[in-house]
Amino acid sequence: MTAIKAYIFRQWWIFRRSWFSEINLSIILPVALYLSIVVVFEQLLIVSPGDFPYSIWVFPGLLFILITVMIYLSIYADLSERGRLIELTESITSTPNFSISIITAATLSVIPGALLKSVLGGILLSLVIGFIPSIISLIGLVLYMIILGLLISGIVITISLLTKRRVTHLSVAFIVFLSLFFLSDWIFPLEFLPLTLYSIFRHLPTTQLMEGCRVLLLGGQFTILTWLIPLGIGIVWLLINAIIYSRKVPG
Amino acid sequence: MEASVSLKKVGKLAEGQSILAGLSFGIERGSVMVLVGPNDSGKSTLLKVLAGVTKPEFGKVFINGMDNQLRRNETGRVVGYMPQSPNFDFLLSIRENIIFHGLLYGLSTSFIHSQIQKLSNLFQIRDILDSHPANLSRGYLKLAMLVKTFIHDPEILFLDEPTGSLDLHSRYIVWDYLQQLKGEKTVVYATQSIDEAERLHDRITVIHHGRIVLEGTLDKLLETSGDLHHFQIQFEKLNDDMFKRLSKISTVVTPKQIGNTFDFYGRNRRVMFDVMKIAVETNLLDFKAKRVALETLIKASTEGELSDSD
Repeated sequence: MTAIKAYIFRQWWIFRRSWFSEINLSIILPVALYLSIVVVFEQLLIVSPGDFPYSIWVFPGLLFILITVMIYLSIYADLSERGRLIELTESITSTPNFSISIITAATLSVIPGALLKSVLGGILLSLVIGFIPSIISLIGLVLYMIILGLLISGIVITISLLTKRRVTHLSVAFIVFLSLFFLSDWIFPLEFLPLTLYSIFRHLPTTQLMEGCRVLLLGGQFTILTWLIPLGIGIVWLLINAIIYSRKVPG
Repeated sequence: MEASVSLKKVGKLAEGQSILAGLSFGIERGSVMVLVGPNDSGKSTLLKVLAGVTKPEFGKVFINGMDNQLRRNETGRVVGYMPQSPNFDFLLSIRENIIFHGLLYGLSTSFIHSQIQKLSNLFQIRDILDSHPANLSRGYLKLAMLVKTFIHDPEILFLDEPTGSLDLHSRYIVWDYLQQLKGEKTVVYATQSIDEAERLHDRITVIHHGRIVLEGTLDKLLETSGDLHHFQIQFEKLNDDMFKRLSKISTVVTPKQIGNTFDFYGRNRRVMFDVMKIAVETNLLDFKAKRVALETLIKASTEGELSDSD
């Protein structure tokens, strides 16, 4: 808990210093996503997915993109270069904290800020699209976004631990996240993919989260497995990152 | 006296090369041990291993009798480690960096703030606490690192060249503070400055290529050098034949030719006469003789000299 407290303070100090640009990003990013995804795909897709207008169907996907970008930006500044990562962690390693505590703290501490900014962006997006979900759905949506945040933080930290240069970090992250955006049913309906690909990608934890989120937002039902399995995967990912950290970073 | 830090056959490898080679020794509680040695001698690596920041490939380090790798949580609480280079988080101010570090030790915010006030007054960095590390000189960063290292009031300190980049005034502040800690805290201190080693030591350890080449108190070290003298005789022209003849004199230790100068050590001043008996056959320009001080002793031991006689 001591490490988590320290990291949450750290995120707060960073946010306090750059709150204006952070809030601006929460306003600009949803508008950009609306123009580049909703407007374009609405013209491209002949059949509406799931019998809903594309703009409503894609709403949770856009929220997922928002939190992904917010988390990536928070971690990128810290951990995208091996030299800086080692510099930062050298003094942390000498403190009485296990690798798992440090990784858990680094992973979880970015979620509240990213969630706050994404919710702010989500409110703007819902106004632009004209889709206002119920309060219960919104609470469930926040839960799904937290679990997604855990997964995304895990992915970004793994990339940070395994790449040495900024350019490699950026390239790997770009490929991974672009694939996630398109192959997790976030912005492009998975059912339009060939059957083989569909049967593979529907099992991704990010796809399951999206499925649960849509069922909740558009159908009003809450399915436990759609968040329980990704949550389990997120926790296992934390452990894997702690092992990579303890082997790669100190020394 | 009880050892608060002890090493058992500690070895560290990097890229297949040995950086620390089977080190075994103990450091008494409340003592100040100074590590001296040239660049890349293994001082910083040794401090990292002692602090538990780096794992040794062989052997074990015990802090208050506890293995520093197996019981990191307990040992980490009593140890303060200051690396050689500033390791601040450039997204935070100096104050925030120190608070963050203190929180990682599980300290309360009120204790952290009182420690910051006390230590920043001591090291005279109150004015820069809210500055960003990127805007500060290396000297200020070193002082801020000391505050960060002392924040949890550790009983064992591993300091890697803490006075590097500091002006003389700040150096005296640090030296005075470390003197005050003698008897209360165990300090292991790496430096390249012999003056500093002589000023602060309880014990001086000279490390070279990951091995301890000299170890003991200043008096003991100088005692081991006995009446060792360093001589230099300058010839008008020193040829190979003359160098070989002089080198064969049994009392001459580690002879070396530096241009036209015959450089050697001797166990006493009388060695000079043995050499002169032969040297006078050619034209001499000058000679120097001086008793070996700590600096020469360290230089000689790290350059592999005197090994024959020792």
